Amino acid sequence: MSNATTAYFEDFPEESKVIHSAFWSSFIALTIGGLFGLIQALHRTDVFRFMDSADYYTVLTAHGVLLALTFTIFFLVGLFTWATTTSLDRGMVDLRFTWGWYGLMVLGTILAAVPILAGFTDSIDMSASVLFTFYAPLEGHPLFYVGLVLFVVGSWLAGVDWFRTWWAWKQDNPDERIPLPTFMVLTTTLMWYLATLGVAIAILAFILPWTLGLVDGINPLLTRTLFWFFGHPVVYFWLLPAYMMWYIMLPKFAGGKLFSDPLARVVFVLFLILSVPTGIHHQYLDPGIAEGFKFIAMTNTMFLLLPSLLTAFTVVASMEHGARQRGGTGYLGWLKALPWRDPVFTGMSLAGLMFAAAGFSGMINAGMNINYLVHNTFWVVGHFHLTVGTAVALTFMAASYWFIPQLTGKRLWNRSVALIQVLVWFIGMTFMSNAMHRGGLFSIPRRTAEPQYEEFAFEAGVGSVAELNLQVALGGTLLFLSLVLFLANMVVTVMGDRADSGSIPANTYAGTLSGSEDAPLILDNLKLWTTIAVVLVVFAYTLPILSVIQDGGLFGYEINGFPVSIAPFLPAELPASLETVTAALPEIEVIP
Amino acid sequence: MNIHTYEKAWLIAAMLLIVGFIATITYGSIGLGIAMVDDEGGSIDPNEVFDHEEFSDPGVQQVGEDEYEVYVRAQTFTFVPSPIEVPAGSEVTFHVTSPDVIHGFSVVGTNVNTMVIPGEISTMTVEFDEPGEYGLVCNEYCGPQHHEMSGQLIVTPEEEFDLTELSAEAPDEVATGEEIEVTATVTNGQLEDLDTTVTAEIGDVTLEEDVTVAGDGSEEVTFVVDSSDLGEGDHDWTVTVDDYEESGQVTVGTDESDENDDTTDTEDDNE
Amino acid sequence: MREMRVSPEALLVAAAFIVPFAVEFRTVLSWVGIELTALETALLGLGMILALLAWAFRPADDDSEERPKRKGDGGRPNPNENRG
Repeated sequence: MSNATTAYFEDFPEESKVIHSAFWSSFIALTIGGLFGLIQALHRTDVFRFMDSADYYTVLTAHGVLLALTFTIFFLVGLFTWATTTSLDRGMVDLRFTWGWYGLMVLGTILAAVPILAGFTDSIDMSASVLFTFYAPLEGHPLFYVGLVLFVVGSWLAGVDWFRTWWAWKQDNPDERIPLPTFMVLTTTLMWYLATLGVAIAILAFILPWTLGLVDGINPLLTRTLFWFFGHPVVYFWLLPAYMMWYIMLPKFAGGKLFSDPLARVVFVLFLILSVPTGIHHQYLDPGIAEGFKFIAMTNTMFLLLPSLLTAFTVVASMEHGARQRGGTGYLGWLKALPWRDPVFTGMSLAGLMFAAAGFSGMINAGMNINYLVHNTFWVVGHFHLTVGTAVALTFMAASYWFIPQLTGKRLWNRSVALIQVLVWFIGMTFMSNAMHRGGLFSIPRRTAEPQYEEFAFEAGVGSVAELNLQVALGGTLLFLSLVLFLANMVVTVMGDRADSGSIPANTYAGTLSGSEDAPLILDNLKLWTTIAVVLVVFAYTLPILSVIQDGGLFGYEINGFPVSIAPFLPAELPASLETVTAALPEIEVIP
Repeated sequence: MNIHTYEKAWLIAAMLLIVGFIATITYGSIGLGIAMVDDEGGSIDPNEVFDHEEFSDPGVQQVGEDEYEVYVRAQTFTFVPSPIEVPAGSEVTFHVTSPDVIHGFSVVGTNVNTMVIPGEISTMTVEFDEPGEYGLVCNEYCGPQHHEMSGQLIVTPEEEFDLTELSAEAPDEVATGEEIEVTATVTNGQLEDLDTTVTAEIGDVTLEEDVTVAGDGSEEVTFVVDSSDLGEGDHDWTVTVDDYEESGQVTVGTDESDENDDTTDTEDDNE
Repeated sequence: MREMRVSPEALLVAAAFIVPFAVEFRTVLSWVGIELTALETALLGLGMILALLAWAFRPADDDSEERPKRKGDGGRPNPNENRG
C-alpha cells in the first residue's frame, strides 16, 4: 500500500514486534560475526595475533555461518514479512505461526552456534570448525547440522506464512495483480525452496547419518555437489532482499518512482528459474565432473548476468528520475540533486555501486577456464565481501535506519553518525576488497590462518605483499569501526522514547512510472515459472549427480570423520598430527 | 509490455555481452585447447591410496619423449613428494589424490590449480616453458594445520633434467688383506639410455667405469680394492655419478668374525 | 564559508568517492607501466580531496548564473526523504 499515511508500527503493531525481533537477531549475528572478521583480518595478515592459528578456523566458521546465514536470513524474513503485510495491506494470517517459525530459526541458530563456539575450549567435548561449507569428510558435531536444518526449516515455514497471507488476500482480491513487493517475496521463496533441497538432502540423507554412525561411508564429491546446489542460489537469497530495497525503496528515497514494474517482475522471474542450475560453477576445478556439465553451469551463470544488468539500468534510471523531480539537470549534473545527506539513500546507493564492481569480478569467476587463476584464492574473498559484505550488508544497514523507526515509533538517534557509518563502510571495503582481489591474482589462498610459507614467498605485481596485508588490516579495522557506529545508533535509537504521534514518516514504498498494468499476466503465473525452474534443475543436475554416484557410490567410501568431534580431535589427536607435520619437514627442506 | 527504448538498447547490449563471454570462453576451450580438470582421472578408494601402485610411492615418471607423469599425494598437512622436480618444455601430467579430506593443489603464480577430493583423482596436463621454482599451496581448508600445507615445484632446464638414482653398498669393516667391494647401483628413470661414468674414491684410490644404463633400467657397477693397499685404519669412500654422490666409511683391520655381516647401504631416492 | 557549493554531507560523500578512485587508479596506472608507491597514492588521494575542498569552499560568484539554485542538495524537498 503505497499511499499509507501512517507508520508501520501503527498499522501492524504485532507484526512490528516479530520483524523487530528478527532484525535484532540479525544485528546480534552481525556484531559477533563482524568482530570475528576483524580478528581474522588482523591475524592472517600477521598484524596482530593473539590466538593459536588452529583457532582461526573456529573463528572463520563462526564468521561465515553467522554472517552468511544468520545475519542475512534473519534480516530477510523480517523484511519479507514487512513487504508482504505492507503491500497486501493485511496482517499475517496467524501470528502464533509467525512467532513459531521465528522461534525455530532462533533455536536452530543456537544449536549450530554452540558446537562452533565450543571449539574454542577443550573443556567442552564438541567442535564444528568445518567452515560455512562443511565439506565432508571434515566432520562437525551432529548438533551443528541439526541446528542448520532447524534454521532452514524455520525459513521454509516463514515462506509458508507469506504464501498463505497472499492466498488469503487473493480470496478477497481475485482480480488484482500481485503487488510488486509480494511478487518479489513469493518468487524468492520459491527459489529458496528449490535451492535448499540440495543442502537438506546432503545433511539429512548423508552427513547426519554418517556423523551419528548410522552409515559408515560418505561420498565427499556427492555431498560437495549437493552443497553447491544450495550454495550458489543462497547468494541470491541474500541478494534479492537487497534488490527489493533497490527497486521499491531506493527510487522513493531518491525522490521519484520505479522506472518499470514489469521489468522488475522479469528480473525476479529470471532469478527464480536460473539461480539453482548454476551451482556447478563453484566446482569448475573438481575432478569427477565432466567438462560438459561445467559448461552448462557456466552458460546458465552467464545468463544470470542479465537480471543484474537490467537491475543496474532500472535502479540508475529510477534514481535519475528522482533527481530530476528534485530539480536536477544536465547529463551528470542530476547526481548533485540526489539526497546524499540521507544515510538510507546514500548507503543503498554506495552498496549498489560496489555491487557493480563485484559484478565485474564475478564475471571473471564465472568464466570456467579463467576461474583457474582465481579459484580458492583471496580474490574470491574480495568478491563476496563486495556482494554479501557490501551490496547486501550495507543495504540492510542503510535500510535499518528507516525500518527501526517504522517498527518502534522511535526516531533515529543520529543521522550524521549514520551517514558517516555508511561512508566508513564504503571506504573500509574499498581498501580491503582491493587488496584481497590483488592478492588473489598472486595465488594467495583464502581460508588460511597464516598465508606465509617456508618454501616460497608470494610476489605482488604492484607494491608488496606486506602492503596488501596492511591494506586488508586497515580495511577490516574501518569496517569494524563502521559496525560499531551502526550498532551504537541502533541501540541508542531503540532505548530512546517514542516520538510524537505522526512524526515517523508514513510506511510507503515507491510508485512506478510503468506499472503492473503494463506487465503481461503470464509474469504472475508462479506455477509456470516454478515448473521451468524445476525442469532446468533436472536438466543441469541429473546427469552430474548420477555420474558422481556411479563413480563413488551413494554412500561413498568408509571414511572416518576428520576432525572427529565426538571423540574430540582437539586436543587428543593434535600432537599426533603435529608429529606428522614435523616428520614431513626434513623432506621439505631438501632444497638445493 | 512496453519497454523504454533505452532499456531495449541496454537489454540487447547485455545479451550481446553475455553471448560474447560464452563465445570467448568456448573459443578458449576448443580453439586454444585450455583443458579443464574433469572426470578423466577416474576414481579411487581413499582407503587404498597407500596401497595403490602409483600413489603408494608417488613421484615423477617419464612416459614418452618430453612427456612426464607426476603422482602426488595431498594429505594432511603435506604434499608427497615435495619438492617435485620436472623439466621445462615438456608435457607434465599431474595426478593428485587425497587419502583423507578435501585439499587444494595450486602452483603459486600460475593457473595450475585443482581441487583434490578423496575418492577422485585430479588429472591435469601442463607445460612449463621456463625453468624456475614455484610454491605449491593447499588452498582448501583441510584442518587445524591447513596453513602449514605447502610444498615446492622445481622446473629444471631440459638439458639438466634427469631421473637418475644412485645407491651404493660397501662393508663397514674388513680384515687386512681382504678385498673391499663397493657396489653402486645406477637407476635411469628416463626412457632414453643414459651414458655416464661412475667414479669411486676409496681411501686414496680412484676408480672409474663408463656405463650405459638402459631406459627405465638400472646397472650395477662393482669396484674392488685390496685393503692392504689402503692400510689399516678408517677410510672414506665416495661414489659419484653426474651430480649424485653416495659415501661411507670402511675400517680395515679388525677381528675377522663379523667382516661380512655389517655393510653400509646408502640410497638417494632422488627426492 | 556560509555559502558552500555543495552541502557538507554531499562533500563528505564526494570525498569518500575519491578513496576507491585513488586506490584503483594506482592499479590502472600499473597496467601502463607507472607504478606508484602506497605513499604516493595516499598523497595523490589527499591532493584530490584538498582540490575538492578548495572547489567547494571557493566563493561561488564566478559561475552563479549557471547555478541558480544551490541550496542544500537539491531543489524542492523530497516528501519521501527519510527524516525518521
